[in-house]
Amino acid sequence: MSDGPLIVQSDKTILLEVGHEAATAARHAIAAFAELERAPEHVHTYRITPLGLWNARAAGLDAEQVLDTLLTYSRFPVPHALLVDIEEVMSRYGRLRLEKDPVHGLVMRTTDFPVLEEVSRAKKIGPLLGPRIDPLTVVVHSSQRGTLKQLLLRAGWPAEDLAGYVDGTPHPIALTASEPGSGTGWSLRPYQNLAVENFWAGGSGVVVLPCGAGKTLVGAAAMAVSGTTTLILVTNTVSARQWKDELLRRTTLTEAEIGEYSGAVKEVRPVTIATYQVLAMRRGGLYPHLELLNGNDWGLIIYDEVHLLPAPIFRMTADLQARRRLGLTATLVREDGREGEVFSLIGPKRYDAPWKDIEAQGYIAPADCVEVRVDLPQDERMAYAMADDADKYRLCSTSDTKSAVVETLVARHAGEQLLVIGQYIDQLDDLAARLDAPLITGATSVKERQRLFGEFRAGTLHTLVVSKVANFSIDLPEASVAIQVSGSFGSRQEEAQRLGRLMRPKSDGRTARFYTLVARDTIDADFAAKRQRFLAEQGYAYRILDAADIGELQE
Amino acid sequence: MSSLRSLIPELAARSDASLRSLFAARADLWHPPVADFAALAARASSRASLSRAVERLTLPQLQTLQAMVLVTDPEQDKYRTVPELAGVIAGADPDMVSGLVAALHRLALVVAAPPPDQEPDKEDVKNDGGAPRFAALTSVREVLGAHPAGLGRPLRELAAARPQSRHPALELDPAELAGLLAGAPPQALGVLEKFVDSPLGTVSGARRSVSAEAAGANPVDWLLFHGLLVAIDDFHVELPFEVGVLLRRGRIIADFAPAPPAVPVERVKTSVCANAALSAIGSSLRAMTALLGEVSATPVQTLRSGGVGVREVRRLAKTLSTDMAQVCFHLELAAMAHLVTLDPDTSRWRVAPTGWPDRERPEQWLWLASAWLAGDRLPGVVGTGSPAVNALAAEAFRPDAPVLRRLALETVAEVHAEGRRDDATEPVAGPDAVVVRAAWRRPRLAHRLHAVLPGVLAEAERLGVTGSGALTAVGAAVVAGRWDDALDLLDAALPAPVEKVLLQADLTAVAPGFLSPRLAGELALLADAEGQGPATIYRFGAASIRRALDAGRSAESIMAFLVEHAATDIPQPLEYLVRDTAARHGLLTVGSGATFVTSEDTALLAGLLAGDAFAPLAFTALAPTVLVSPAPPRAVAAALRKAGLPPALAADPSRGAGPGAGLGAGLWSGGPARTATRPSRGGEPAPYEAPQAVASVGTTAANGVVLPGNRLAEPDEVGAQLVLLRSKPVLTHGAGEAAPAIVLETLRSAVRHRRAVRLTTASGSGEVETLRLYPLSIAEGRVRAFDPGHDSERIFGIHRIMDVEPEEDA
Repeated sequence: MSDGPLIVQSDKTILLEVGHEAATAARHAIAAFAELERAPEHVHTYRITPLGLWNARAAGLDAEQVLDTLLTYSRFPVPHALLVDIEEVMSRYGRLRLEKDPVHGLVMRTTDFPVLEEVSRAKKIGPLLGPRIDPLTVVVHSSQRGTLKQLLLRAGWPAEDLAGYVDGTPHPIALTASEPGSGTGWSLRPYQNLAVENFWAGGSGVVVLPCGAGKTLVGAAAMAVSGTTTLILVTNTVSARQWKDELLRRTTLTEAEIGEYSGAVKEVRPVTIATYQVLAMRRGGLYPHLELLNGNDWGLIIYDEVHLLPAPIFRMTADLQARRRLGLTATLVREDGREGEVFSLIGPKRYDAPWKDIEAQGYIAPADCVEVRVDLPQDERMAYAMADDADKYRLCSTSDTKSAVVETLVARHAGEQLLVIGQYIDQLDDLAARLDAPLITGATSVKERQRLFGEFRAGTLHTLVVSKVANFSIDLPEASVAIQVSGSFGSRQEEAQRLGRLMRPKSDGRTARFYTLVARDTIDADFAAKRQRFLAEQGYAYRILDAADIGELQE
Repeated sequence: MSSLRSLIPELAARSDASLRSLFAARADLWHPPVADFAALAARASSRASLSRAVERLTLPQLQTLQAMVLVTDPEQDKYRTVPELAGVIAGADPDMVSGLVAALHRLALVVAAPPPDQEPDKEDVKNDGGAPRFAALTSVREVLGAHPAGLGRPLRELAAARPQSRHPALELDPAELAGLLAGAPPQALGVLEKFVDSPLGTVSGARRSVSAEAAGANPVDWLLFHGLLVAIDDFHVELPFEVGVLLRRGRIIADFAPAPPAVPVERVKTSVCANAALSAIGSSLRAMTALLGEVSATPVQTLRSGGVGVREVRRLAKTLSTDMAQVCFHLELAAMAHLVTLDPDTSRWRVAPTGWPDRERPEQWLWLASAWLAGDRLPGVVGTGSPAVNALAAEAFRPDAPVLRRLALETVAEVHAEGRRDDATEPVAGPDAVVVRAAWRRPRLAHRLHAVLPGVLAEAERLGVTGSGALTAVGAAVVAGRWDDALDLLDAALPAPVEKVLLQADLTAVAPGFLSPRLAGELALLADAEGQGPATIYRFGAASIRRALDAGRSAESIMAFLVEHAATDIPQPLEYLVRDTAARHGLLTVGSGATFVTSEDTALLAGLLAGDAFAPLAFTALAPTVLVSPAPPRAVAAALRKAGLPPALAADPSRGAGPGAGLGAGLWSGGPARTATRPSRGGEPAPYEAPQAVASVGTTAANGVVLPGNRLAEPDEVGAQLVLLRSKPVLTHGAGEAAPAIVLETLRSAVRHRRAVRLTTASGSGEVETLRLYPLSIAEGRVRAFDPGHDSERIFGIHRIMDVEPEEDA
């Protein structure tokens, strides 16, 4: 047996030993068909899933190549049953094809009569199909393209979508060579270029890049390649404004060409930025603004933070299969486990880079995570012990002891750009008062938020206390220290986002520091363990300290 | 001269080498040892031995022997020369037949004609009249069956059997018979063509009298009329030998097959084959080690009807996270390799003390492979049939399993050797190819092979003797019995165990390959194993570290172990976890004691502790004011009274509040008590001598869980059994050996009280259904119950009932 970097397990996971000299080559080879599941420091775990194998088929890889990759790089013999399984699964892709027929419009063709027969008799799939044209072809209503694809995927016969995309209304967009304000030159980073190329070649799909790695630029570049009218869906208004600013800076688009479609303003322009919230708004059982998605002849739809996509937009997206779709996200982990739907509706993952890789290239700041364990005083422990289950988490995560530790830490990092992040407003109010720092919550007006962010960015304001509103899509370039006092239970995705706040590269290359305060022996610690396992699996080593030992922390 | 009488001198005249080869080919001739050549000859002509020898003949050898049986008869001095024999075998030349006859002669199935008037002697035989003459042993005829070579009895014999019927063909000489046949109507010849393989045919009213006119109309009537078919009873006719030979154009063997038939062979890449086989070798060894580990923890229980029940197999499959077929095969394999043995006292399969885990992996595999080759059981039978055969049940026992398995594998090896090429592919001998080829190699065995072949090939694949259907180098060595070669190949293919693991910040340790058993055992204690495949992932957690601490490890020893075996630095969170868990381990300690003694007078208690008179009570100080003893309260009280220290008896707190209730509670919740008397680890436990002494007071002590350092250890297996019993939950739902008893009890109570139960049962095909029933009676392992849903009575085997719950009252 060769001495390869991979160990292929019979439970369909692949272990990649990172320190091996052939690790990089092996990673590139298996990334095409296996999903990266965990990336701790020494051994990364990939998983082989039917979805991944079908995506590989969609990208033009056949079973022979996949087996060859595994056999070439594997250190030990590969379980034969797994090889047989891979071959079988991959052979299922493409037996059904969605095609454009000049006479009948959208049709589903097959090379395998029994398969078509099987799916057309399936309870859910049958009603989506129109009349049979010939034994191997059936008409599909074009509005059912997405739903049908999703159901076929679930039935295990993924359809190859060859029906293509509508062009959309042309609207030339180009990237600028230098920033208009400062005049400093810029260009896409290599991985951003690769992401755009992969996306465009595939037609539709998701690009996974860590926070701070410049996802907006990938979006802008995709728009430039597309050269059509574009709809951008973002999580909130602040984020919409930031997209607008970024587009003005990085592309030839002018103020008049970019519209905002949010609760406050409803402009539809060649490039329109809409929030999920307004689209998913429901009035009288209807979604009055969902029309926007399909009402205009968009050539490209960009979904920012695709892991937060709300259900109504999911449903609507199913009808948009003829438009090019780009999903952008930092983590494809959805706490509701609907990653599969993202893949089938927006498109397969087109580009994915481990955080650590991009950090190693210097494009995002290295981060140092520290968990500080706080002992609850006796009275709080008793209160905790006797509390209802529903209140336990709030009680332990808002302990006064934590506030004291926060003060110590803030004092330690005096002069650095520092964020205090929490879940409970009472606790944050208290902290803001103690630290004499402004507080930003959901109740803070957009204008006020932008002012505070502006000051923070400018360096006139050093400490900000923020609630979970700051989790997503706000640009705080120079935040170098974050202190998390409480989180929404064990949300892994939130942890990643919060850490992401710190990762935009620092001008002086400093290491960012991420503190999490955890109350010992409570469910706070259990949740923290869950979040930390996630961080460690993403490759972020962390340390655990007792609150008493903070003084020993090295700078 | 009888064939036996000619065989004796012939055997006696053989050279040693020739006898040796005879013994090698027919081992039953000298097992058990024979007294003399007469006995040897008798044994060689015995039906059992001959039948075994005939099973080992190839198709051309068998065909030659069949022809000889028909044309020779040593009792009537009918011997034939090789050219004469070649004449009755279509497509055979004398050289070919000479070789075949010589082989049969070597096997002592054929005797040579003795010279007319002198003692038979090998030299003379060769020189007799230029050409030696041979005949088949008379008893071979019995072994070959009623119709050797598919030919009927001669006309004379048929006529003798039915003298009252007319036999027109008997009067004809061979030429007339040939003429008659040549003039037969075409339809009649068409009918005769159907008798190619067997001389028997079914004809209704076979013994009807046929008139000459009727014979013209119907071909069968024509044949009967002319005696070319002879009725043997009302429904069957036989084609006489003479007619059969004429139909074969004067030959006895028409379909002589001197060369093995070509078989269809698919090809598979050598790399794929090697990969599949090596992966199978690795995983079968892992599975066996895991299975043995599980069986040693929980011996496998058997059913009363024999074998391991589906429920038990399912439990094993779940614990080992594999499928039931795999578990069945490995159980069978373990039994064949004597790695597990049936304990006659408990009817459970236990792990035999074989030192399996400490063997090198190549040795382990050879152990399994050789046991499988020689095993007299067919694991492939398990799970088939109706009712399905259970694992390790008597039904899977087949004495001829080794013979069939060897035939299958040798055939595979032969096909493989023929199909080898230098293009990085290997020939795959599929079941069809093996059946065709085996039918030529061992025609008398092949029909038995047919049913077991799929199982044998699947097992070979599981073991890694074949990979992706093609025989591997290791497999070939094993089949040929070249064990040393196989060992060398395995040594090269199976890497040495790894001694280092990779520790990661997500609190996992990854073992990149096969871990040495000692290291694997220790890691399994410290962390929970995850994942299946060549590598194992161990996940550390507070619970697993606590488990190790309970087993007597300390934070220092754990860290030292990790440092020694980590290929990387120890991540800070892991170290924190170990130290943090260790620091807080033992916050609550649970032990056992039957009696406590408290007093505010600490000096008095210290006296009790030190006093020799109280040594049998084995006092332990929990705190300066609290002692415990494993002896029951009455014994302690009696001993104290005897020493002039009459105690006040505290009431049992579990039986309601009393004067001493508070004290009892305080015993376990007291803060300082724990720190003061927490037993020191590694302390030598003193032997417990109490039983005799305490017995004098009329009671015995029963101990609970023994803490290290506690002086309660009792070196007694019954005691250990009791300890074990006490340490397990009293009732575990739906599992364990108590389950059937609980089922019965619930059913009986329902019968008595006419209550409804919810009963979950598995049918013979494994379907599970849950029913609401009124049980009516229980007898002979069955329960009769009324099903209100169908308004009918039903009967269930109790062994099929998975769960019963009494229905709540409406």
